[in-house]
Amino acid sequence: MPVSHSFSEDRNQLTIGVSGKFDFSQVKDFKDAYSESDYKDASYIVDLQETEHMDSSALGMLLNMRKFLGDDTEISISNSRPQIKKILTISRFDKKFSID
Amino acid sequence: MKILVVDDTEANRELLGWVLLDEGHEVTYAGDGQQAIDSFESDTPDIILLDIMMPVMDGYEAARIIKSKSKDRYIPIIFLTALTDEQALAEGLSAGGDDFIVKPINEIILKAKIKAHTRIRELSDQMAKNNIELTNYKNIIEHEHNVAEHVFQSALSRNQLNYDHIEHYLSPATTFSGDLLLAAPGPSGSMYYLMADFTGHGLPAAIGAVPLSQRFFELAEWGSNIGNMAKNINQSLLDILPDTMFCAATLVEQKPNGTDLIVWAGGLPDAYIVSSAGEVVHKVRSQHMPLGVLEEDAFECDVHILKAEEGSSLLIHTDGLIESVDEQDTMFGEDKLIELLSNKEWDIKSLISTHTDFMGSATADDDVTLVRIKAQRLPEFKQSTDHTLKGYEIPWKITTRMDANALQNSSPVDNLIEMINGYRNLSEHRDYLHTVLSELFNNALEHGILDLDSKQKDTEEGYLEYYQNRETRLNSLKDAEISIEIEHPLSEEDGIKITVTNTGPGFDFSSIKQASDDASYGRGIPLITSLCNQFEYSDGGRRVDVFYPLQ
Repeated sequence: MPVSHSFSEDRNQLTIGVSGKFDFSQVKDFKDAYSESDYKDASYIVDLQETEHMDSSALGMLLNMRKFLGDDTEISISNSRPQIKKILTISRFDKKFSID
Repeated sequence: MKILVVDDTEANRELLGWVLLDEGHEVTYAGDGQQAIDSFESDTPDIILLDIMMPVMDGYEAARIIKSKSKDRYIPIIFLTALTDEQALAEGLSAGGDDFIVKPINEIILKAKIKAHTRIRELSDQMAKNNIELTNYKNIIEHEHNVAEHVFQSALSRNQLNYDHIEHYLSPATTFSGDLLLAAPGPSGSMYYLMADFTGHGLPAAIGAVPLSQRFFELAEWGSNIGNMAKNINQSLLDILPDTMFCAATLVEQKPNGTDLIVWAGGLPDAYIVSSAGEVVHKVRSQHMPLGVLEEDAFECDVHILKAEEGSSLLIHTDGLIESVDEQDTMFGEDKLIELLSNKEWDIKSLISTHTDFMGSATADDDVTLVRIKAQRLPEFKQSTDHTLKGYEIPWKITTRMDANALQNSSPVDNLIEMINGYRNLSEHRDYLHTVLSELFNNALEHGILDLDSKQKDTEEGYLEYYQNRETRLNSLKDAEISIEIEHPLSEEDGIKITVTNTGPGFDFSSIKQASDDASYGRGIPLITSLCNQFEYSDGGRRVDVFYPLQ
């Protein structure tokens, strides 16, 4: 599965991982991964360690996630490779997400 | 049997010959010691009957020479002597005689002794044959070990243990080991480690190391997460190892800050996080079955996520250390190890030398492997840039023209990136080129040909709908074409020219420009303008040209 998700043991944190290509082909799986969670207080991590490429459709998906969860929810984008990080920076995603 | 009869009296020779021929043996004769040696060399007898007192050379001298010449073959020598002559008997045996027969010869005793020596002779022949076979086997095995050793070393050639933050000890590399320690940097600046202990020792245990290390280096280079890495390696081992063989292992990813550690532990003894003061502040327990045991659906990828203090260390070891036993049958034990770590100055060398002293003359029956990973910021790893082509480069151009059928059934961007990648090492640009090409191609397809409206993407439901529409319209597409041209001209400014054209009705390029920071659409154009230094739509949106600089 290119999109996976798992809860931390205390169920306070949901990690969503995307493997390989992050683009519109994951649109449904990605949306399902965060919208199935009924833990409103949870924080979210989008783990891009295994993401090799992304394009603007992935950026749109991340923004939709932000809209869905609201501005107060903590969402971090972690472990991205230098190339992916640059794309996120170009798009000024550091304003909306914590990128580490 | 071929029997040589040596006697200076012809009557004696004939008498003996008559008895032996009657028994079915082949008989040759010699009249003195010198003749006996000559005959020994030319006729290669199996047994020699040797008189003592003879002209030219006596029996003692002949026996000594024959024995010295037949070192690797056993040729029984039986002296013919008078019963009363004890002195002669003793001297005969010390000259190399194996037995004696008393004169005058008793036919029954002669036959019995020949029979006995025939048996010994046959046994010794069989032994000599076995020895040759064993020697051959030994040579074959040595050769096979050399070949295996070469494969083993080559498989480990990508191992990168020589960093300041890693200290390690491995069982000597010349003998095959069931233990393995691998390290490799990943693409995002973290470092991967794997310590493994295969069941058993020696060559069979070492065989599993080859696929294991190949898989590890591939996954590290790709930047896998630790859980997935464990899962993949598990599957590789499951596919090839026999049921009785598996591999206890600990996998670690150390993040670039050096202090964040992600650990998958299956079957090795506890690893420790040791503070700079020498205190074991955390024991990393094994939480899984070893690799190569569980089928894919039962395999668990759960990892420990640890935060080590700067200056502390992660110590991983195989059971060879704590389970070793000295001459008094005392086990080294975990307590002793922890006690040694409480000395702040400890290092791997001191642990190993304490272990060597402990063992004394007792032999270790398991491999001992240790690694200390220091929690300190990792160095920057250079990405490998082994240009396959050096010197003058040729200009090139790739063109593709896709009709409706091709558009429905292919992923042109992935294919084109593969092709570019094969030409020159563009690894650092590959992902950006992938993004740029995706944007250009998707704009041509979605807006130029399928006439989709980006504004639809602004709500979450609309976003999904947009991509559902894309699929529906694409599937019913007829009579449309997209062409992509990628060119690397040898111009002054090194870069890649990309042109994408489509045969659609044209579209208003400004409609896909970004509306606001919050909008979920219009994200592609800013990406292209940041990554490329020329960017122009023309022909009513049917053509776009960009230049991607390689500097």
